[in-house]
Amino acid sequence: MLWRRPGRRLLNNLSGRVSAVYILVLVIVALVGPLVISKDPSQISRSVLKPPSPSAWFGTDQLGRDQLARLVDGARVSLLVGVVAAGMAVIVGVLVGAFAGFFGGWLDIALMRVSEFFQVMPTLIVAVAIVALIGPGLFNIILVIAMLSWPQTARVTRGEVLRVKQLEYIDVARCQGRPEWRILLREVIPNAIPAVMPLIALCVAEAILQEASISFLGLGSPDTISWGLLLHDGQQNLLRAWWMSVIPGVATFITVLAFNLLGDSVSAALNPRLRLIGRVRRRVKI
Amino acid sequence: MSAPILSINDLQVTYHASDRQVFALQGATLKAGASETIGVVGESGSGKSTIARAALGLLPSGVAEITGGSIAINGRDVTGLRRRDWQPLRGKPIAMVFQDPLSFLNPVMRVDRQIGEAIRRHAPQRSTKDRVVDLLELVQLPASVARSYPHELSGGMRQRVLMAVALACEPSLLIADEPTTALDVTTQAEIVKLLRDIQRTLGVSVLLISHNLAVVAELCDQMYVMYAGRVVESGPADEILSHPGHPYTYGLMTAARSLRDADGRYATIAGDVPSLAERFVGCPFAARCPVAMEHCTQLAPPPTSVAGQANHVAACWHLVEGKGRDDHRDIAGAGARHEGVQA
Repeated sequence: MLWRRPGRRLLNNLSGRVSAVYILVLVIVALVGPLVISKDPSQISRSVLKPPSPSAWFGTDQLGRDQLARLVDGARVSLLVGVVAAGMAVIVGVLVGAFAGFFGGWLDIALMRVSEFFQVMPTLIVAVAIVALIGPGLFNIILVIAMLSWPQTARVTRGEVLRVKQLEYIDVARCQGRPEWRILLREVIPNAIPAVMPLIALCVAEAILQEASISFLGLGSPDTISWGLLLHDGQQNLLRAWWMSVIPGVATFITVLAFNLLGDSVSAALNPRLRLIGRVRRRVKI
Repeated sequence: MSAPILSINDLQVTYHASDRQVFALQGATLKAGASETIGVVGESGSGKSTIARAALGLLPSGVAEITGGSIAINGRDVTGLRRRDWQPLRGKPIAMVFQDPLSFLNPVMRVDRQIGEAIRRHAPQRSTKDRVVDLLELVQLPASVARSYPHELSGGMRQRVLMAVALACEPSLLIADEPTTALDVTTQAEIVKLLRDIQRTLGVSVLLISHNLAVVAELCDQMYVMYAGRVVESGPADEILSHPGHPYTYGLMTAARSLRDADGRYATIAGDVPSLAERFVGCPFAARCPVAMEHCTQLAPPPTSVAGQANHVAACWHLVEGKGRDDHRDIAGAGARHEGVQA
């Protein structure tokens, strides 16, 4: 009920609609694509480095593997890493930010210093260093990305919690003698979440990009096909096979762009001021 | 006689801003016993809400400081209690209804859950769902309201929901901080009637904070008149309303009774509410008082009984010096009319 209107507004917005549809299609491709495409993404063949053709739409790589099959298979990993890493980062960020903002005092100071510590670290370099230390597995990469991206959510949540916690209905909850942690959980966090919503999509975009960067540098696991790995292979054959770099590059670019646009549209849909403008504009059109 | 539910004695509260201090309460004494209806009246900034917040330990931490006096709940001194220790004292002995019903309800929670949270805390053994319906019935709302969000309700309905939330805690004292201020006149009357019904059926005590004399006169047995952070007069409501002892009370009543007099002037109290940036040495009302004497600004008048009634007390030098009440009222009346605004 409460979300129906922002949801409709999101779809009324052109970039919101386009990006939502694209992401939906991408998710479907990632889920069912490997079943539809008959080719095995790891099957090597003698037709190496063949440009796009009717038999291999996106060409083949240096080992003769079908690039379309690899791209579709890689979409699963890229999306998985993006969604899981962003989900972890958002959950940690919301909890840290909420506790810091709500309880204040030394807890706030300590948690915010920790988050600043993670925020000032040069993300890619640290990510590379950690992956090099703990090994390249998919889960490790997810963990590293999540670890480096929660501070942003934490800071936004904290700011919002600081605003919400001094609202009147929090006093009403206090007046009932309810425990503080329960007030935080039931009253404060639900009212702070809308500010965090746009960040979720941005976080996914960021995570996809970081996974691609890590794999591009060859630090991903070589048997996990991801877009970053395709770019890594493509880079080594850049002058001989442009399709190996351009196609996964464009796919990464469009996907990151789509998640960014979705994030912007979510924030516009939840912003009461822009909401008003939209309504006026529509009326003028009629 | 057992200890009163709430007993506030000579309470002093100071708000600290970055560059100045506000002495919001400068000695306020108030008692609420079982099954009583008590009214607190005063202008904006007279410290009414500060008293209510202090009684629940809800003064903004780090900004407000209790600099003197004491608060006791059921005979237990709670003056310096830490934030965590307040929690068991809120809701059950004392619950609160606030003034602006929209901002005091959580916008993303349905009504039944908001009431349910209070029930869960205080009476978890009963079926929450039935209890929500009972409470809604008690505040005369249809059961269908339970599934609504606050923004779907009218102001009067929200105020009733807030009352249901407060009553879910099964309090023995209900503090109502200007419960009718944000509502239109007809809704106000309904809420006042509801408050009275609830007070009678449940036997809870009600501490009504209002700047509306008529509401207090209608509802309350006991009454406190506040001015500039002090209680200037207290006693049985009908006693105060028929024989006001303090010139400020008299001025308030004159202003409320007749909007304009025969000359088309508004009955007002001349002057402004004094700034609370400093502590008063004498009577805080002296600067506006039509019958002020020289020593009124220098020495605080002690609480003195009015017309020989031991429970009706006002702080005014005229009473101490035994001036006749009618005499004093004549002077006060003339003064109150003196500088009315031209209509």
